[in-house]
Amino acid sequence: MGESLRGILELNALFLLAGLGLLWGVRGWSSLLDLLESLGLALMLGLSAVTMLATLILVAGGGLSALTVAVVCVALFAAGGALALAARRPLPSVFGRLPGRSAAAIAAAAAAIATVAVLVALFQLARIQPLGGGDSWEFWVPKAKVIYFDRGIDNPLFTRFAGPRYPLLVPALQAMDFRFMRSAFAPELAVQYWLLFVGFVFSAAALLRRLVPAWIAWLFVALTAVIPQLDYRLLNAQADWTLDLLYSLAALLAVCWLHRRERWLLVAAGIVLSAVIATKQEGLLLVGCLGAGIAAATLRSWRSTWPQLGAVGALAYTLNLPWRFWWASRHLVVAVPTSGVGSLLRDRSRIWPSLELVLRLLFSTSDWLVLVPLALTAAAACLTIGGSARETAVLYLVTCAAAVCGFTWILWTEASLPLNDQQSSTPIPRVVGSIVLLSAVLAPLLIQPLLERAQPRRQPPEARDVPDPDPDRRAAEA
Amino acid sequence: MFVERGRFVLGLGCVSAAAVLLAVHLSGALNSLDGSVRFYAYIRTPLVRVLTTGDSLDIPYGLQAEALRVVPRGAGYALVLPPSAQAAAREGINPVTYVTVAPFLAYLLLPAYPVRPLRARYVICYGCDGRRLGERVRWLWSEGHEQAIGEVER
Repeated sequence: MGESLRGILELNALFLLAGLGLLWGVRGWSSLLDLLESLGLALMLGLSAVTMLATLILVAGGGLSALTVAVVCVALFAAGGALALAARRPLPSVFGRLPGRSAAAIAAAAAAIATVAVLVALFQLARIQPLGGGDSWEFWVPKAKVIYFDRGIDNPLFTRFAGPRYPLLVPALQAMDFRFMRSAFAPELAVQYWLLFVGFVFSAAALLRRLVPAWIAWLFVALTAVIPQLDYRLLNAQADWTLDLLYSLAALLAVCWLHRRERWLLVAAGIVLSAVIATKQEGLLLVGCLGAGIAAATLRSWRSTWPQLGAVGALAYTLNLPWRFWWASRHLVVAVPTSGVGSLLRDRSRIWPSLELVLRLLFSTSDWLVLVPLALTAAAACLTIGGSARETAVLYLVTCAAAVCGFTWILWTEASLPLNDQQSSTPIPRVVGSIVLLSAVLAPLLIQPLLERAQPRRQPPEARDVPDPDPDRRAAEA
Repeated sequence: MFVERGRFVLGLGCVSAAAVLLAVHLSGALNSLDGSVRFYAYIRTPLVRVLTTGDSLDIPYGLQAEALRVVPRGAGYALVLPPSAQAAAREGINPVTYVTVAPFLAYLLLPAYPVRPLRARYVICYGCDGRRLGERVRWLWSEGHEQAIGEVER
């Protein structure tokens, strides 16, 4: 194993440790199997939390030495452990129950094996592929190199690259990789992006399995692994897929919270949402769209939903304020289109072509398969059902509609953006991936209620097998 | 009852479509990834892996490799290009290469950093006539008239 690969694995082991600590603190595990299943989520939570804190360290004038990163990870693990001990949440001592042999279990295993096959192929490519994607060598990796070599972001060179106001999460993550690799060998960053996808796949499967049978959860998780644009661009050291993966995971956590009302889901969603905002400028827009979707879906129960979700959203945004203050204090260009009403009216001829382009990109089957049409169809059907199915459908539809409006607004107001589908000239062909991935992870929750209603009312066997992580609290709530 | 059955059929249709999609695209995805792995099999060293990105932008491999070798860490360098894309085209530099060579070298050579020619310790000449840069430049590497790397003597 090369030193670069070993370094990336060491860093991600620290992320995993931090994430396990956080999960132990807010949730705990009922069995070793439960713990094993939550490893993907632990990696994503640890990565989000540590990298988010790393951006704050950079803004405060600090550097990202290996010792600093290790201390942050261990501190997060210790904080989580302390919370767990205070809540008398011991480590799991029983192994747990494996799913029984059934057609559904075999289907789930087949889809999981298909996913792992794609992951293995992606890893082989990640080990040899050169650095790809214009934005990667134009500014993301150079920024990371400045952080690595200059131990901070105060070098004037940092703001001279394209996109000086772009959020810090991706350069911070790459700089930490370089630190643990002990070199700035950029092509090896592909392995970091591969690990990000691995974490996403297993997180999504574990979260979905709490709400739907394993076979439908793994079917759609496997589909995400064969999205042509994902296989084509995932390993480029850019921010787009990082944003998409974190965003759909945050949305899934929020939806799971709406279904289960377990507080740890809300905490986890907050951590990942803060990372989404810190990844790309579009992250804030997407979080706003998700907020609109949740608000619309929970209009009837707003008293028990909005204050908690609002607080989490506000906290996630607040964590990103120091970076905004940093670039504002250096008089960098503002982060939102500044077109006045006059220029907006002048450019009104761009509205329809912009909307048409966004929709064309979103429904491009050669790029994204038919994940969006599938989820939209199921969501429309779910509107005729009550309860949580309708809630999820409204959330999904409103989030999609808001995102389409948001992307159209970007194209309309940024007159310099050409109205074409070339990835190098406009971010929209890449950013629609967030909605595609959102469709993929919410589709099982939208399709399952359609299948359930024609059968006798009973819980799916896989969902029934899921151990309750906090039975005492649920009993108290009941 | 009719509505409920309709929903069930729709759900079944969605699941079937997803399963067919997976079956159809799984082998395609695996073949495509395997094809990419075989395509990049010629990359045997980390240096080739780093320089292949620039190569794909038509930035000469030799110029990249020598710039990495010659320009030391932390040094200021100036990239001298033809004055316009049209002039660059006459030197055989395509428009994409003309606009990407500066940011790509900035990425490649960090922690060496780009500066204005008057402040540079090193000069990277691509498509320029090195002889016109004056006597103060000691040329350390060159390939033809249009690619050269030199140190500015002070």
